[in-house]
Amino acid sequence: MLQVRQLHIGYSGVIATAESLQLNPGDLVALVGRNGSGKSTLLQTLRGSLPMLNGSVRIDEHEITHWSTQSLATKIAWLTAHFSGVSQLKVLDYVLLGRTPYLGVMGHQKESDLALALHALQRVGADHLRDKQTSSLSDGERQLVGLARALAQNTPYILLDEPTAFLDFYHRKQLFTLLKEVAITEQKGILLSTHDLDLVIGFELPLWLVPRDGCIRAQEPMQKREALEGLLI
Amino acid sequence: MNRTKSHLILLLSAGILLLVVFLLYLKMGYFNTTWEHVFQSLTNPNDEVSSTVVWSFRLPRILMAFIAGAALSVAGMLMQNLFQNTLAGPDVLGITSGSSLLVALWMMSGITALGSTTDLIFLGILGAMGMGAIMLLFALKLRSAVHLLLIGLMLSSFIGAIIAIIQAASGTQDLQQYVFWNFGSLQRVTIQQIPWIAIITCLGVVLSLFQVRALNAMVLGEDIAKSLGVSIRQVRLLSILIAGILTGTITAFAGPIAFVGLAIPNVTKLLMKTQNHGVLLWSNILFGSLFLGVCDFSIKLLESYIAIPLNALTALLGVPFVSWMILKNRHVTG
Amino acid sequence: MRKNSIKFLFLGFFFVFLGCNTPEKNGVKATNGKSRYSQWLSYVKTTDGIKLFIKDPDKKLPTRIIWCTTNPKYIKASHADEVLDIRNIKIATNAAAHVGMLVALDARDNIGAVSMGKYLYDPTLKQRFDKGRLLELGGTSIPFESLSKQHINIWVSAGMEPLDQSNEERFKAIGIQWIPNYDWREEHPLGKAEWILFFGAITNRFDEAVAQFNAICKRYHAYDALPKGNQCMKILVGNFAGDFWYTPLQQSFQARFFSQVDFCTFSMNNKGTGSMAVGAERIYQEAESCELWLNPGFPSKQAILSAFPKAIQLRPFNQGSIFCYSHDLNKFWEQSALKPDIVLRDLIRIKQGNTTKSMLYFYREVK
Repeated sequence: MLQVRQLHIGYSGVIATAESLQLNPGDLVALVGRNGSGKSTLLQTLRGSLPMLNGSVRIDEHEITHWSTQSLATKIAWLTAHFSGVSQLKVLDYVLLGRTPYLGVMGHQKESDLALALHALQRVGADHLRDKQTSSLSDGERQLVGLARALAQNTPYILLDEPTAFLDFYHRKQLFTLLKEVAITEQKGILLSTHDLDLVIGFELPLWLVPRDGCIRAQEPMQKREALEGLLI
Repeated sequence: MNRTKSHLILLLSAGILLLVVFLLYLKMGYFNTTWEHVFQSLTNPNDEVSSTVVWSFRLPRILMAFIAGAALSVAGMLMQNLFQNTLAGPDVLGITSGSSLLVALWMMSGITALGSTTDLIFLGILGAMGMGAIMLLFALKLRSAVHLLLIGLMLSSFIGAIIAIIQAASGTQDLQQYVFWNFGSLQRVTIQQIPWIAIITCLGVVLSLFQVRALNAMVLGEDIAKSLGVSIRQVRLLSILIAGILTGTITAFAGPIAFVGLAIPNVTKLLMKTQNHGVLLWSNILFGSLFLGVCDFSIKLLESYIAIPLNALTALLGVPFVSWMILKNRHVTG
Repeated sequence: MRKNSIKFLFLGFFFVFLGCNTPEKNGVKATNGKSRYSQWLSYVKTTDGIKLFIKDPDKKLPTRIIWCTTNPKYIKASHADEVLDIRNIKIATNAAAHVGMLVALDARDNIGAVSMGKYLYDPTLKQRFDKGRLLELGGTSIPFESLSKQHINIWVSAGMEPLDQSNEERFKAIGIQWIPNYDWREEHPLGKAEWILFFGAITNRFDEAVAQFNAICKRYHAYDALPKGNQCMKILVGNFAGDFWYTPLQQSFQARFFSQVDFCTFSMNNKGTGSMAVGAERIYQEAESCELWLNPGFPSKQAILSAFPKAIQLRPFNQGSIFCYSHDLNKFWEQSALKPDIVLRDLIRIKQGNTTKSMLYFYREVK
């Protein structure tokens, strides 16, 4: 269980606060809010790459500030839409990088790591891409193998920063379906930031709202787009 | 796996070529030596002319070529990894210019503390490490690698300017000594110095080995690398430290050697078609040694006809080759 | 060879004798000058001053004919030649050898600008420089503005700076005459020294210059006539720069001196006026048969070693001796062009082992 209490986030000044939030394994939660409201800041704080100004974030009752970078990486995986591939890096190697937190310093990969990576690729249905170069993938393929990398990381929680940003409607829907499936079958707590209100409503996702006053709060699935928009303004 | 096999074949052939270059280098040259001479000099060096030629002139020079090639390539690989920029090399952090600065200051001031040769080497390393330390301070403060790269490039120019001023203010003889050093030459090294250089270089390689996991993750950018459990601070510190040791040592002993640290890591990546730094590290060592070894061998073979300075030849041989590699791979790299 | 030079000596004296005492009355019409050793400079003495003929060694420029006179109006009225008014000249030069010749003629007051203050040897000039009375030309570009401020009217050039059209016009605009000086292209030691006549002509000290040059020639030939010891003594010349050892070729200025003293270098048989680059192994082998190493470019063995640690393997380093002039480079560059006799004497004494400090002028043993 990922728990947020009395959290103040921001760089030098407070951008947003959260009284109490909770992400459980098996949940797929959408983080929605307008541009600049603090969605990315919250994601950064949760994965420990930005120090929180005040409050606490706990995973299984342990404060994340006490975790080392490496052990935190075994709890939270993170995916961004901005990764555009690296030359001479094949998909399978990319997915294998998800195993990084479990490897020794010399980076030796065991058979079990390979098996997990292959399994992750199969899970997202991107098995056929394994020998392709990451730099030659389409945007849709890139999100799939990215998710595979996050799955190979084998963490109870996955944070995704606008994973649908560059995708067309078909691929967005496909990704949401896949995420929903993965959350339930693999028992993972997935939090994704998005501007795709229609899909959020269509998939009846529970929400973390970042309204303009900056008080982030949890919200039951909404039925109407207008109502949701109203909450954000 | 298929790829592992092709990696092995490439590395093995590089290794065999390295051995061939090594043996031919010891055998061939202005002075006629037979294979018996070579083996006798290696096993039991004495005062005879043939033995001195092999043992004191050929052996340290080819070994230095191998070590320098390997060290500079590894340093280049670390810098390109750290900055995620294929244009980075050991010189971008001002490491080479740090060495140059102290060597210039020392030569032009005429102060000797430890005996000239020891001074030179000590200062070369000290200068590199000093600049490395300054860059480390920046590395701890700055979030963005691009800013770090920018600072490094600017510091290089800054130091270049200071050296120019020192040069303008110093006497002819001191200037001459600095100009000689600045030429870059593998033959200044003596056989007694080789073990030290080798040990320091090995230290750098071993330290690099202990960061392979982090280096691999760094390929995805610092942000993702961090989410994969890599301590960015530690990678930066270690990469700069190792590159400083390697470049500083080589620069102190052989003067500034250009191009190798920039070109070889790129060529290696294109040849090995991987981002696995466990493979890349060994490949850089082998290809870097081979490249500088072949360069120096060519200089020696051509020296009766034409005098080509080392730094000219590395670029002369390197640029067409690297251009061809890049052209050939332009579709892959995208 | 020695006989030949003695013949030259007499011929030369004869010529100068003529030249000094009977200025050619009709030299006004002369279209060609004479010289004794110089390839690129010749001259004629007339009643109205000295006519200089300066040939371009690269044959790109036509021969410059300059009439140095104290009566420019008269000559300008009657002749078409280029006229140099030598009554009040201020010279800018970027060559140390030029400075040395002007100093020897006691024409320091005619020097307005030098290349760099730190390269000056003459104490008087150094003082003047420190007091700001000499302009420093410095490195790359020609400081036209300061030149005109210092009232400099002659730029004596070794032909190194870019003399494109725009620079030429700028020189003209600020009233500076650009005169080439090719002393550094001379192959004969005395040919180089003969350029003192050039400076004598432009500073109105021609007779003094002739006297000095004659004395130099006389001493040079006298030293040359001395017995020098064994024929063809093998020596090592030069040092490493980077991967290569640079040693002077047969027809170079330096090598001329060496052959005069019967020193042999392995580059003796390679024609050319420049230097030759040789690899380390060859040098090591050549050094095995040498006891003497000249001009390593460093004043101490320690300096040699720190630039090139393997020098310790060269025979002259351990078992022979090393001589160089680099303990005082400024002195050498400023004076050696005008003192080929002294250079020769130094080399003869080195060969004979007569090498205490007081016996050598330019050279000193490297220890």
